[in-house]
Amino acid sequence: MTASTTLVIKTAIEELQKIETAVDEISGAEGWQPDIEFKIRLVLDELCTNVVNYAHRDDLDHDMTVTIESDDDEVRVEIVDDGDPFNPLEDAPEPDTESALIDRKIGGLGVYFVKTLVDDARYWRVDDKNHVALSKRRS
Amino acid sequence: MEVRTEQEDDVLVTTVNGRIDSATVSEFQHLMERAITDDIRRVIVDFENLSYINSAGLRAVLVITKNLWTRNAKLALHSLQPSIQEVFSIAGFDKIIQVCADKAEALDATQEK
Repeated sequence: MTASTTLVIKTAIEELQKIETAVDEISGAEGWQPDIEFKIRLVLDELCTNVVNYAHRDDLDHDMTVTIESDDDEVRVEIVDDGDPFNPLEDAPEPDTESALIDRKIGGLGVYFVKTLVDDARYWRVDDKNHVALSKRRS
Repeated sequence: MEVRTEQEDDVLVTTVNGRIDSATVSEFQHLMERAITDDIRRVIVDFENLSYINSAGLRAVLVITKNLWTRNAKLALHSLQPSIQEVFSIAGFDKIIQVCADKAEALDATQEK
Protein backbone atom coordinates (compact mmCIF):
# COMPACT_ATOMS: atom_id res chain seq x y z
CA MET A 1 0.00 0.00 0.00
CA THR A 2 0.99 3.60 -0.36
CA ALA A 3 -0.29 6.69 1.36
CA SER A 4 0.67 10.31 1.30
CA THR A 5 -0.49 13.35 3.22
CA THR A 6 0.54 16.99 3.03
CA LEU A 7 -0.18 19.51 5.78
CA VAL A 8 0.24 23.24 5.62
CA ILE A 9 0.31 24.57 9.17
CA LYS A 10 1.16 27.82 10.91
CA THR A 11 4.47 28.02 12.74
CA ALA A 12 2.85 27.84 16.19
CA ILE A 13 3.26 25.19 18.90
CA GLU A 14 -0.47 24.47 19.08
CA GLU A 15 -0.45 23.64 15.35
CA LEU A 16 1.89 20.67 15.91
CA GLN A 17 -1.09 18.65 17.12
CA LYS A 18 -2.17 18.46 13.47
CA ILE A 19 1.02 16.57 12.66
CA GLU A 20 0.27 14.15 15.52
CA THR A 21 -3.15 13.48 14.06
CA ALA A 22 -1.71 12.97 10.58
CA VAL A 23 0.85 10.48 11.94
CA ASP A 24 -1.93 8.58 13.77
CA GLU A 25 -3.97 8.35 10.59
CA ILE A 26 -1.25 7.32 8.16
CA SER A 27 0.25 4.88 10.68
CA GLY A 28 -3.14 3.24 11.16
CA ALA A 29 -3.87 3.09 7.44
CA GLU A 30 -0.42 1.73 6.55
CA GLY A 31 -0.02 -0.61 9.54
CA TRP A 32 3.25 0.86 10.85
CA GLN A 33 4.96 -1.04 13.63
CA PRO A 34 4.83 0.86 16.97
CA ASP A 35 8.59 1.45 16.83
CA ILE A 36 8.40 3.10 13.38
CA GLU A 37 5.45 5.20 14.46
CA PHE A 38 7.30 6.37 17.59
CA LYS A 39 10.41 7.34 15.62
CA ILE A 40 8.58 9.16 12.81
CA ARG A 41 6.56 11.02 15.44
CA LEU A 42 9.74 11.96 17.31
CA VAL A 43 11.75 13.20 14.31
CA LEU A 44 8.82 15.28 13.03
CA ASP A 45 8.24 16.70 16.51
CA GLU A 46 11.89 17.66 17.03
CA LEU A 47 12.36 19.30 13.63
CA CYS A 48 9.01 21.08 13.52
CA THR A 49 9.37 22.33 17.11
CA ASN A 50 12.74 23.82 16.13
CA VAL A 51 11.18 25.55 13.11
CA VAL A 52 8.40 27.00 15.27
CA ASN A 53 10.80 28.16 18.00
CA TYR A 54 13.85 29.31 16.05
CA ALA A 55 13.34 29.67 12.30
CA HIS A 56 11.91 33.18 12.20
CA ARG A 57 13.12 36.38 13.79
CA ASP A 58 9.78 38.17 13.36
CA ASP A 59 6.57 37.48 15.27
CA LEU A 60 4.46 36.95 12.16
CA ASP A 61 2.57 33.79 11.37
CA HIS A 62 4.41 31.79 8.75
CA ASP A 63 3.32 28.65 6.97
CA MET A 64 5.30 25.46 7.00
CA THR A 65 4.60 22.36 4.93
CA VAL A 66 4.93 18.81 6.18
CA THR A 67 4.60 15.86 3.84
CA ILE A 68 4.44 12.24 5.02
CA GLU A 69 4.59 9.37 2.53
CA SER A 70 4.49 5.68 3.28
CA ASP A 71 4.76 2.54 1.18
CA ASP A 72 5.55 -1.08 1.98
CA ASP A 73 9.29 -0.40 2.15
CA GLU A 74 9.80 2.96 3.76
CA VAL A 75 8.40 6.14 5.25
CA ARG A 76 9.50 9.49 3.85
CA VAL A 77 8.88 12.89 5.37
CA GLU A 78 9.71 16.37 4.15
CA ILE A 79 9.54 19.64 6.06
CA VAL A 80 9.64 22.98 4.24
CA ASP A 81 9.87 26.36 5.99
CA ASP A 82 10.58 29.92 4.91
CA GLY A 83 12.75 30.77 7.91
CA ASP A 84 16.38 31.85 8.06
CA PRO A 85 18.75 29.56 6.18
CA PHE A 86 19.49 26.70 8.58
CA ASN A 87 20.67 23.19 7.91
CA PRO A 88 19.87 21.30 11.11
CA LEU A 89 21.90 18.31 9.91
CA GLU A 90 25.09 20.42 9.83
CA ASP A 91 24.47 23.57 11.86
CA ALA A 92 22.90 22.19 15.04
CA PRO A 93 25.24 21.84 18.06
CA GLU A 94 26.61 18.38 18.82
CA PRO A 95 24.95 16.95 21.92
CA ASP A 96 26.82 16.02 25.07
CA THR A 97 26.14 12.31 25.52
CA GLU A 98 29.22 11.55 27.64
CA SER A 99 29.69 13.91 30.59
CA ALA A 100 28.95 12.88 34.15
CA LEU A 101 25.48 13.73 35.43
CA ILE A 102 26.30 17.01 37.09
CA ASP A 103 28.27 18.33 34.10
CA ARG A 104 25.86 17.05 31.47
CA LYS A 105 24.77 19.78 29.10
CA ILE A 106 21.44 19.58 27.36
CA GLY A 107 20.93 20.76 23.82
CA GLY A 108 21.29 19.35 20.34
CA LEU A 109 19.57 16.11 21.33
CA GLY A 110 16.53 16.61 19.11
CA VAL A 111 18.51 16.86 15.88
CA TYR A 112 20.83 14.10 17.07
CA PHE A 113 17.78 11.81 17.37
CA VAL A 114 16.85 12.71 13.81
CA LYS A 115 20.31 11.85 12.48
CA THR A 116 20.46 8.63 14.48
CA LEU A 117 16.97 7.29 13.90
CA VAL A 118 16.47 7.72 10.14
CA ASP A 119 18.26 5.95 7.28
CA ASP A 120 18.71 8.99 5.08
CA ALA A 121 18.52 12.72 5.80
CA ARG A 122 19.05 15.57 3.37
CA TYR A 123 18.84 19.32 3.47
CA TRP A 124 18.61 21.83 0.67
CA ARG A 125 17.54 25.43 0.25
CA VAL A 126 15.69 26.66 -2.78
CA ASP A 127 13.53 29.76 -3.39
CA ASP A 128 14.39 31.06 0.10
CA LYS A 129 13.01 27.94 1.74
CA ASN A 130 14.64 25.26 3.89
CA HIS A 131 13.85 21.69 2.92
CA VAL A 132 14.63 18.70 5.13
CA ALA A 133 13.81 15.27 3.71
CA LEU A 134 14.12 12.06 5.71
CA SER A 135 13.51 8.44 4.94
CA LYS A 136 13.27 5.43 7.18
CA ARG A 137 13.00 1.80 6.14
CA ARG A 138 10.10 -0.09 7.70
CA SER A 139 12.13 -3.21 8.44
CA MET B 1 -0.22 13.05 30.77
CA GLU B 2 -0.79 11.98 34.33
CA VAL B 3 1.65 11.71 37.24
CA ARG B 4 0.63 9.58 40.21
CA THR B 5 2.78 9.65 43.33
CA GLU B 6 2.78 7.71 46.54
CA GLN B 7 5.20 8.14 49.41
CA GLU B 8 6.43 5.09 51.32
CA ASP B 9 8.72 6.33 54.12
CA ASP B 10 11.52 8.20 52.34
CA VAL B 11 10.73 6.64 48.93
CA LEU B 12 8.58 8.41 46.35
CA VAL B 13 6.92 5.88 44.05
CA THR B 14 5.81 7.59 40.86
CA THR B 15 3.84 6.44 37.83
CA VAL B 16 3.71 8.49 34.63
CA ASN B 17 0.98 7.79 32.09
CA GLY B 18 0.63 9.26 28.60
CA ARG B 19 3.01 11.58 26.78
CA ILE B 20 5.78 13.91 27.88
CA ASP B 21 6.02 16.39 25.02
CA SER B 22 6.26 20.14 24.50
CA ALA B 23 2.65 20.56 25.63
CA THR B 24 2.97 18.51 28.85
CA VAL B 25 6.62 18.78 29.89
CA SER B 26 6.20 21.81 32.19
CA GLU B 27 3.40 20.09 34.05
CA PHE B 28 5.43 16.88 34.34
CA GLN B 29 8.40 18.73 35.81
CA HIS B 30 6.21 20.77 38.14
CA LEU B 31 4.31 17.74 39.48
CA MET B 32 7.52 15.81 40.06
CA GLU B 33 9.26 18.71 41.80
CA ARG B 34 6.24 19.34 43.99
CA ALA B 35 6.11 15.68 45.05
CA ILE B 36 9.84 15.50 45.83
CA THR B 37 9.78 17.00 49.30
CA ASP B 38 12.89 17.42 51.45
CA ASP B 39 12.38 14.11 53.27
CA ILE B 40 12.48 12.07 50.03
CA ARG B 41 15.73 10.11 49.61
CA ARG B 42 14.75 7.81 46.73
CA VAL B 43 12.53 8.35 43.69
CA ILE B 44 11.23 5.44 41.61
CA VAL B 45 9.52 6.30 38.32
CA ASP B 46 7.36 3.77 36.48
CA PHE B 47 7.44 4.59 32.74
CA GLU B 48 5.56 1.48 31.58
CA ASN B 49 2.59 3.54 30.42
CA LEU B 50 4.67 6.40 29.08
CA SER B 51 3.89 6.26 25.36
CA TYR B 52 6.04 9.15 24.16
CA ILE B 53 8.88 11.45 25.22
CA ASN B 54 10.85 14.01 23.20
CA SER B 55 14.08 15.91 23.84
CA ALA B 56 12.23 18.50 25.95
CA GLY B 57 11.00 15.64 28.16
CA LEU B 58 14.52 14.23 28.44
CA ARG B 59 15.74 17.67 29.50
CA ALA B 60 13.17 17.68 32.33
CA VAL B 61 14.23 14.19 33.46
CA LEU B 62 17.85 15.39 33.49
CA VAL B 63 17.01 18.48 35.55
CA ILE B 64 15.06 16.42 38.10
CA THR B 65 17.88 13.87 38.36
CA LYS B 66 20.52 16.59 38.81
CA ASN B 67 18.48 18.28 41.53
CA LEU B 68 18.14 15.00 43.40
CA TRP B 69 21.85 14.29 43.03
CA THR B 70 22.80 17.65 44.53
CA ARG B 71 20.91 16.74 47.70
CA ASN B 72 22.26 13.21 47.72
CA ALA B 73 18.94 11.56 46.82
CA LYS B 74 18.64 8.84 44.18
CA LEU B 75 16.39 8.22 41.22
CA ALA B 76 15.65 5.15 39.12
CA LEU B 77 13.34 4.75 36.13
CA HIS B 78 11.82 1.39 35.29
CA SER B 79 9.72 -0.56 32.79
CA LEU B 80 10.49 1.68 29.78
CA GLN B 81 8.91 0.84 26.42
CA PRO B 82 11.59 -0.36 23.95
CA SER B 83 11.48 2.79 21.77
CA ILE B 84 11.83 5.01 24.83
CA GLN B 85 14.65 2.89 26.19
CA GLU B 86 16.40 3.29 22.81
CA VAL B 87 16.03 7.08 22.91
CA PHE B 88 17.47 7.13 26.44
CA SER B 89 20.52 5.18 25.26
CA ILE B 90 21.02 7.31 22.14
CA ALA B 91 21.04 10.37 24.41
CA GLY B 92 23.60 8.67 26.67
CA PHE B 93 21.18 8.97 29.57
CA ASP B 94 21.62 5.30 30.46
CA LYS B 95 25.15 6.21 31.68
CA ILE B 96 23.92 8.85 34.16
CA ILE B 97 20.42 7.71 35.12
CA GLN B 98 19.49 4.32 36.56
CA VAL B 99 17.22 2.55 34.06
CA CYS B 100 15.82 -0.69 35.48
CA ALA B 101 13.72 -3.57 34.18
CA ASP B 102 11.08 -3.40 36.90
CA LYS B 103 10.09 -1.82 40.20
CA ALA B 104 11.93 -4.35 42.36
CA GLU B 105 15.18 -3.68 40.51
CA ALA B 106 14.62 0.09 40.76
CA LEU B 107 14.07 -0.15 44.52
CA ASP B 108 17.22 -2.23 44.84
CA ALA B 109 19.26 0.15 42.66
CA THR B 110 18.40 3.14 44.84
CA GLN B 111 19.07 1.31 48.13
CA GLU B 112 21.70 2.96 50.36
CA LYS B 113 24.71 0.69 49.94
